[in-house]
Amino acid sequence: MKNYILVIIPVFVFVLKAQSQKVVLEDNVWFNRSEDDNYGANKKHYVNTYMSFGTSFDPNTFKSPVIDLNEYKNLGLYYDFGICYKYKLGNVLSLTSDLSINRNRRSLHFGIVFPEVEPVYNREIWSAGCFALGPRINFDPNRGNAIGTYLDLRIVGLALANSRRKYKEYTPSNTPPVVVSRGLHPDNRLLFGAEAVLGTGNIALKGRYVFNTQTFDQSAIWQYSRYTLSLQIGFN
Amino acid sequence: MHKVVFTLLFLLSFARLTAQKYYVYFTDKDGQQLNPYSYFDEHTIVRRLRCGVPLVQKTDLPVNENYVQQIQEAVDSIAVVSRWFNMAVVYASTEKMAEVATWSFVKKVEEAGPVFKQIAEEVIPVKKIKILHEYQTERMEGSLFTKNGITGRGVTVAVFDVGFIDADIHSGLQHLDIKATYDFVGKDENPYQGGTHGTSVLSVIGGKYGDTLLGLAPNAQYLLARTERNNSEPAGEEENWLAAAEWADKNGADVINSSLGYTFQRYFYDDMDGKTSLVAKAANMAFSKGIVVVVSAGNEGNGKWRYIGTPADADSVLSIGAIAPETDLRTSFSSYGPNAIGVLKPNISAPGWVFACSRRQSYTETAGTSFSSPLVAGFVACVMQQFPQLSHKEVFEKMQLCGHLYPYFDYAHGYGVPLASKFISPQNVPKQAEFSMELLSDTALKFNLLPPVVATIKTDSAEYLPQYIYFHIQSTQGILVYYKVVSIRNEEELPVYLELNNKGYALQAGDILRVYYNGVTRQMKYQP
Repeated sequence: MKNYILVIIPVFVFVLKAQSQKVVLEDNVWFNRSEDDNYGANKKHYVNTYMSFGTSFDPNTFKSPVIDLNEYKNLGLYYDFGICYKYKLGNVLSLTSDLSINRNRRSLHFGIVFPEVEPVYNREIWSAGCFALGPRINFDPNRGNAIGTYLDLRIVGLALANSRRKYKEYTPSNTPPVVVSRGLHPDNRLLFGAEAVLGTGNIALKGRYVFNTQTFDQSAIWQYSRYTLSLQIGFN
Repeated sequence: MHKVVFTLLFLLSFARLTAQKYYVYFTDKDGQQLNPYSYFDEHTIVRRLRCGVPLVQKTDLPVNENYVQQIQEAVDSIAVVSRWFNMAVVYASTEKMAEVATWSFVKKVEEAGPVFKQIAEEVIPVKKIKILHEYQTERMEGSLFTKNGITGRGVTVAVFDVGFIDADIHSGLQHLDIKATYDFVGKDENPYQGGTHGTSVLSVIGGKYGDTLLGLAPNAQYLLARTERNNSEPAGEEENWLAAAEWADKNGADVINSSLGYTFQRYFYDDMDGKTSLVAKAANMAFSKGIVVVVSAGNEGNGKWRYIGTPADADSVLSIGAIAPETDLRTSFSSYGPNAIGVLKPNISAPGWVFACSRRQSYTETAGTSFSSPLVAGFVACVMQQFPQLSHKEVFEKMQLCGHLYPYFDYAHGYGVPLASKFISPQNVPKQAEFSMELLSDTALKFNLLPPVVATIKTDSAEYLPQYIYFHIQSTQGILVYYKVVSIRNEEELPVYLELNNKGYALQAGDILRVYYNGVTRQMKYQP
């Protein structure tokens, strides 16, 4: 009989409650407190987004094995947008994984000059997705709930996409040059490398090295820049 | 060129690594003396005598000049020297501080907390409320004070804020008696810069809109201190707060209003225990000197943080939550309590949507617990004028006793909105309704009004606020485990069955179930 009443009462209460009262504020303090109250940059699980701007470069020149032609690549413009997840192991050591997309644009010129044929406008544009994983070392263990000053060391995987070369091609006389866009076909669309991020608060300096085919063979062409240096601004 | 600028900015951001901030505590104040009559403002002497605080405490003695001098020569710079904590806030290299820590007169050296961007008090645009400027004081029955000529006269209120732009020229503030000013950011006596937040805050303590009072203490004296930078914090604002509190103590403050708070950008919720942050310790120290400290609870109620910030976590501080004019309940942004060790916060509440002075000669409608706090600070000034014999501890207690919900409380409203009638004529405060409560099971409570009652329920029309039933479960440790507010919309539906959704917590013998309705609180002890 008692069990029967215990079942009936909540139903009864629910029906009446729906008609006669409106809950305008409710706080289950005990239940809420049992959840993770810690919120902020130094909590155990933390996700932040960021963007960075900088430059990409590759000191090697392409040397054609067939003709006496060198291709020089200037400093490129690099920018990316990403999201970083941090798993805190302790006040000094954390693990970070990072997912980002980046774009990388460089102009080129050639080592042998034929003024009448050298393009006046010659660019490579690379877009890539990037995944990075590695430890974070914090230098200020007593940082409260702030990000602090840190060094991230990560291995990097890059997936190249939408790689193109654009240039102005001269046409027969008395007609304006046209911009030609051609897809690039690097030997490897999946690249690997390493990066280091030295940061304090929302600002960081990010350096990255990517192994490409030219690392091992200077005659390889159409390669993603091996070096990237950028200033990163975090949104925390 | 832009790359060079980026690089320089980045390197500058690391530059502070070579000069970290430290708190250097000294071992003693041997040989230090203080003549309180020449150092303190006359008002400070009166306040201390009234509150039973010695005229000279060890914490009031000046820091040993020789110690400061030696530290000065060793470090890059000294930001603040605190008598209260017998310490100096310094910038120095790690190596130098390791050496300083070994000196015989240095008690300890602490690395200062991180200095990152502060959480700015949120200002939320609100819809027009026709009589907001009257409501904000009248919700606390402020006219009872003014009709009796109580306007904060003879009380000194210190206001710490981000800046008081145009507070010196605004027509709604011209009548205020500004006793002293100081800018602890710029280290000068001009706080009329940095932002208008302080201008608005000041106006809801003692400003006017025409003949209408925006705050309850137009005749108080004021100390204005700028302790914050707007939106960012290159150097410690908490240290500025401490320095400002010592300055306010010296200059005779009875009340400090601080519509400022620090949360997740520096601290974990576990740090909100009233003992961890420098600003909480400074607020407690100010109270121990006889100053009533009124602080906004914070605007994180609908954010991830959710809870009060610091110094609202300090147990000696009157932490003020915000209520909305339309509902008379907690506004969505007002931060929840308690503090991390279960002390009731916020202590009381006040309107969080207000009409206030702003830049140039303008007025604005604005929202935030930033404005609940000064409304209460003005109320406190009136209480101090009315009852000049009350000590700071008595004022603190009475402010809670005069909350409209008292003795009921919860972590959203504290003891509710302070009512002047409970001070002016407590014997005449009517009990408006009687009710019965009956626990039907562990999950249901029956509430019924006793005759003649039903007429007291005002219907859910635009002219009346809804009638609320507040109830909570208090554990045997004194901490609330569950609370709830429901509105009665239909008088024919009585009795009301209240559902207890206290999931995760089973009622235990000795737990208290407490219900508040329309001026009356009833409670029962749970017996299984």
